[in-house]
Amino acid sequence: MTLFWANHFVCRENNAFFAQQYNNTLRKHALGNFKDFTNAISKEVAMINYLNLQQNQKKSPNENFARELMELFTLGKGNYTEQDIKESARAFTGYSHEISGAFKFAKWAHDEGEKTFFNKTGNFTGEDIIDIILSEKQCARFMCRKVYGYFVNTTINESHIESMVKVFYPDYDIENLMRFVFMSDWFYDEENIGTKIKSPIDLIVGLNQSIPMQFKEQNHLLALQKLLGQVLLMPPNVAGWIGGTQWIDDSNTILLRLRLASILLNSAHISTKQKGEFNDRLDKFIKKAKEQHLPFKVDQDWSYFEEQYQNVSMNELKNHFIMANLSTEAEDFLNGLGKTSKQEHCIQLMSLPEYQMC
Amino acid sequence: MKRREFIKQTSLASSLAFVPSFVNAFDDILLNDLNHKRLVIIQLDGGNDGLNTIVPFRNDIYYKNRPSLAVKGNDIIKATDDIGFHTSLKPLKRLFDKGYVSIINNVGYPNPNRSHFRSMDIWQTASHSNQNLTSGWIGRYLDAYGKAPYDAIEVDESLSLAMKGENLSAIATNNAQRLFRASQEPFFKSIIKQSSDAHLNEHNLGYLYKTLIAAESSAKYIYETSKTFSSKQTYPNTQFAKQLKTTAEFINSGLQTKVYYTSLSGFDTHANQNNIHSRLLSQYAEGLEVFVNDLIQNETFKDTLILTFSEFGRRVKQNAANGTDHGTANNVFIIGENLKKQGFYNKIADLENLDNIGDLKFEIDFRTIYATILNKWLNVDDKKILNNNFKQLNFV
Repeated sequence: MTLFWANHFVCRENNAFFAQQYNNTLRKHALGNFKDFTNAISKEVAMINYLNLQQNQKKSPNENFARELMELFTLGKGNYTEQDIKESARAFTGYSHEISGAFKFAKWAHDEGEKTFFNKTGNFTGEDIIDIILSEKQCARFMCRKVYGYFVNTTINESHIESMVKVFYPDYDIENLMRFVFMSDWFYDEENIGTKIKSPIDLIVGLNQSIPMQFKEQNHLLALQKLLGQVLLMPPNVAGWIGGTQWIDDSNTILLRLRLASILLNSAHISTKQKGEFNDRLDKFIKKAKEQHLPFKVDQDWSYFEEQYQNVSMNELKNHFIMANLSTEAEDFLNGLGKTSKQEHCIQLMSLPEYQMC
Repeated sequence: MKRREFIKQTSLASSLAFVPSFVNAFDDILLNDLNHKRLVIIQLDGGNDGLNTIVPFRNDIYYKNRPSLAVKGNDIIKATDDIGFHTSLKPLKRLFDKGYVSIINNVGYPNPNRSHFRSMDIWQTASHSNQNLTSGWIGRYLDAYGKAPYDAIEVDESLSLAMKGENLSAIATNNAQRLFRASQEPFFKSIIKQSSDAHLNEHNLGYLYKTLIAAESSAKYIYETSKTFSSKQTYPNTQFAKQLKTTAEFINSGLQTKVYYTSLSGFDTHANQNNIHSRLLSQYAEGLEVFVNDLIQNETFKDTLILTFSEFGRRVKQNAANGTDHGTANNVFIIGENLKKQGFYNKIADLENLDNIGDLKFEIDFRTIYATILNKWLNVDDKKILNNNFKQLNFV
């Protein structure tokens, strides 16, 4: 959930302390109330720095935050006017922070004058603006679509969205919304399972959950995130990671992603033995040769895997690792493979394009 | 083997012929049939100090602002009465004297951004400074006119944003054999063999299968073509020269690739600039000269244009640490055989007329250079790729 929000209230902060504070705010409100959340984010030092709220002063308003607040955080493009941005930027003047990272309201920089926003007039503050935005049903709709695209399916089903909006609006209780989504029958429809492409973090975390691993050099994990195109706390820009097919947008990425399980867990080796073939010695030889050129040194805890799956048969293993629908051809292919050990077979499964789906 | 299976497998085995139909839904113009020209891009990472690269050695303001950094007296390789090259650029000067170099001064863009990250994105995506684009300018060229990943190669381990399109991206490799081996993983070959039409039509999963097939066939094409040629020139022993050597081998082996991307990093010289900068400039110039000679020897230089850029220049005034801070406008080098405008394309920066931070003001938008290369060199519609109607320059 925190990762979802990190890609919603997108922010980059070089100061490690402020970055941590921002991340803690995401965690605190992740299942809380969206209004409190939006207000907390608007007062978060990392966001104040990132979207130039500090430079947003009465004398020279900076519209950066006001624009992204509506375009990316709450309403979506086209659901507000340029005048709305100008007026609301004035309401957020004076947002500033202490050196400690605490929020500070600089009264001298705040524009106390009257503002007209969404056909309402008053001397609005930033909090008033967020109130007005959230009173628009479009805000709930925008958020529900985002949740749906992330957790359910990138192809949106409008009737599902409408039922979500009914739950989310006007209370904006995030936990309620998530409960509703996860308990809806449609969440478990076949068309919504295994049809999304895993993000690099999904992929790494997923591998780690099946076979716990430890990078011998901490920065290798960072290098891997970079190679795969998703470094935590480092979104490419304020719009965040686009995701979907964009995760795998070139030849090198697809090859790396399909080889990743074998590289991290099995010295870059994927067994292709057909049924009845015996060439263990050759396998061992190849494995050893490949080991010398591995880019990442990793310790794996296969005993955890063995314990978890001790009661799962070789042929059932695929049901635990592959969410996507296997075509008959793929099933035939898997059945034809020689399966010497659960470990080898697990690597085979994780090297299928189908494993990239969730 | 059943007849149906046979047809299925052979059509996948020759997947090169199969790639274009899905990768490129736009045009069926086959790039290579129309034009044999190619582009090599050299990116100087970190913000090269253009003012100490091409030196205005008669300018008092330059010396006043850089008491310990200015290139002085005999160290300058004079090109005209008032402009000279940095000491380390002798090889570049030799190319310059043959008429192979066009130097465009004061290149930048409106409302310059002084962050490496942002400014590099702006250069690579050809965006406005307040706009975030998710595809690069070469990527969009591939979207509109490419047919396979190998149409553009980044001679590195991973792909820059510049090389990523919405529908088709370039391929990155600094070792064709290694890439080939990775793609020839027997397990993947089996997967490709078993992939069926049903697979390929599935929305996201089909996309993964198609990307895998395209990767495999491009890796194979690059390796099998390039292995027939190995360079006879002696390149300097640097990473950068190695990239150029690989590029030359790709070009001279007859690969049909249209764009190559290379880079040299370390130009962020905030402290003790002199030695670092000298070393980097000689790596650049020495590597480049051998590369050009390699192409000349193989008669491929006439169809090659080399573009060198950096994400920004550096501040006119030096800082307290004998270095320079992030600046704005900078020079761009165009290298090729039959340049329309050889030597200096335009006047060097006016140091009396700086912006309020003390940086150079830009005169030529970098996107007009891209537009010119796309239109006049690669012979494609630049407006379609840059989504803007930029002025055409006349260096090619």
